[in-house]
Amino acid sequence: MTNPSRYLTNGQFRGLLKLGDVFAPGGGGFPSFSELGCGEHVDEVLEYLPEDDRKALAMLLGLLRWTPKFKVRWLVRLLEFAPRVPGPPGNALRLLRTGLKGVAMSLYFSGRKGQHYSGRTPLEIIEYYVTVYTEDIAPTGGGDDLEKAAT
Amino acid sequence: MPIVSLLASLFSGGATMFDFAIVGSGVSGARIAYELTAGGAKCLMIEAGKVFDHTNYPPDELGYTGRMFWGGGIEISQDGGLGFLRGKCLGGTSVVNQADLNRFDVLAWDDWRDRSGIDYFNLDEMTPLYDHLDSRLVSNQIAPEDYNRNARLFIESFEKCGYHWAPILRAQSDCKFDRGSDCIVCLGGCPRDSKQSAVVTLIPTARKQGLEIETEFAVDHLDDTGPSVKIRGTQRGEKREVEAARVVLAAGSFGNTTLLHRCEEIGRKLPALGTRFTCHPQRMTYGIHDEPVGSHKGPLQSVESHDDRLRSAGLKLENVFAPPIATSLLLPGFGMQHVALMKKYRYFSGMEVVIRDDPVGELKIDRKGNLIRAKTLTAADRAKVKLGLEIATEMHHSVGAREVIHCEQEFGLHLMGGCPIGTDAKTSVVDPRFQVHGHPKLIAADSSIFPSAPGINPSFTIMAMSYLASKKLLEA
Repeated sequence: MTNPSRYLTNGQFRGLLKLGDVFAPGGGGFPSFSELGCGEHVDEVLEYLPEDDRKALAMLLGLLRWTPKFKVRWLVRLLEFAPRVPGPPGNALRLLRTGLKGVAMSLYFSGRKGQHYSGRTPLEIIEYYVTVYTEDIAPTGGGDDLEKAAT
Repeated sequence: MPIVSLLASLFSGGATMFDFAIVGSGVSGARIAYELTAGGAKCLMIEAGKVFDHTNYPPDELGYTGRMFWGGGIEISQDGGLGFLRGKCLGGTSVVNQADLNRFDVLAWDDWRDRSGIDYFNLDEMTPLYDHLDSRLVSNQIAPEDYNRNARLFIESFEKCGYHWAPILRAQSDCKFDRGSDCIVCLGGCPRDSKQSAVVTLIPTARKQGLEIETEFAVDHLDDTGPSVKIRGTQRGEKREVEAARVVLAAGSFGNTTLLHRCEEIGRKLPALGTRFTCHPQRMTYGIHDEPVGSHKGPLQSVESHDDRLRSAGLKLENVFAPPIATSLLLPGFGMQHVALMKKYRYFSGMEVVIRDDPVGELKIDRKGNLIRAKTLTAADRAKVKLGLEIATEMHHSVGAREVIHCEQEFGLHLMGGCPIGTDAKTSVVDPRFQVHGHPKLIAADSSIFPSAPGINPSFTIMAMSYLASKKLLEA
């Protein structure tokens, strides 16, 4: 998969794929993170992060690029204990957990897939289908006026 | 007020002078904008987020999480233990929340009166404000025939375990559940405009009354040393400055506190700035059932706990659920174990334990002016969480859950304090007239002024206090 991101280097993107495959290795009817291709949409997550957070996350993903997969798995397993670890080590683990699990799961359960994936997305596999009835709602309204009014 | 603007404009070099600039567009900012413009004031509303409406809400969870929430979706406490969600768009959190309307009770008002020294914090004086707003809001309870199975299990569990529940009053008009609408979509804005958010109700009316609106404008400094207030910030990468006779701070707990801290000449004179931060910490619990529950379908939140024992214990149990990304982050584990749990998503019932936390959190800024959210649960808070989880577990089992999951990630959706209200300038930031102590041109009436956690959803009371503040401003 080529790196589509404006914010990640090739190495950092590969780190994302490795991380994603630890969180979502595939099996049980689910595709792996890499197979799904949801990583192609990583900029939808990164674009809205504060710049410092984005840079820190990118740096971490870059480190994971060079970390053997079994060690990434150890790290992720360690992060599961984060809620219970006291003091500064716990603080660091919890922040790490939010960042790494956040980016991986946000993409994996986003409903997004890569251009080469033709199977069902995880949202379809868990049968997450939601809607809101809007056939009686006018297509334009107060919002358009607000858009024009607000600069 | 127009005379103030005219006089101030003589000193402003011809730039537009507003009577009021309102920083923030949630339920507080919108209510104040509506009341002040109705009273003839020339007002400018400044919002850091973008404009969304029913024609362009992002279509899914990933879409709205980044675009419509601060921090790209979530902000974290200093110790990493708590995640905070707050809306970043015109209309603020009112666009992305569940629009619950709850009145404070005697317990909450008595506590506030004791802590703040403010006599009007009592049920007799606050009830007419609620009544006035109630008469002007479109609100409904979900009809029992529309309750989804999650709500029915919640009710059944309460009745089996001997606790009281009540239907929730929500600011909504017509959700069309009979046509298959699923409220969970509305966590990213209501495509039907059924949710009575500020962007659907007060802001359009205020605009017709003359309100001007600037969006994508992040305010980072206030200078109130002259006859007016200079408001400086950045709008789409460009430096901006606007001027108003007075400024209403309606950017919430985080926004108001950050802004006042950044204005060193103001912040250093307010010893209580940043104190008494609370957030009603929440822990999600899931029951896994043998048959599909479909908690994500239909009305997301219909009923809630309404029980004196739970109230006295500082607890509330909410009948609520989360979309898939949020659920995947709440659930423990990773790899095959985790996806196996997610595969049972449709079989989950959801019950949230919410606690009334001690007012000891602190909001500070670092050297770069970024907010530090120092909030760790106290031993008393932890005891409440433990009790709440025990009760929720008993309830899940009482209605046939095979397994109960306690999600360890805690989060806060009601961000309160940082600029507490009170009579004593040493222990409060805002005075009983809603003016910042020593800075009469700065006003605040939103959740940032809460002196403690009420243990009750804050939205309706924010509206009531904002309405009261507006009356005081118009009378002045």
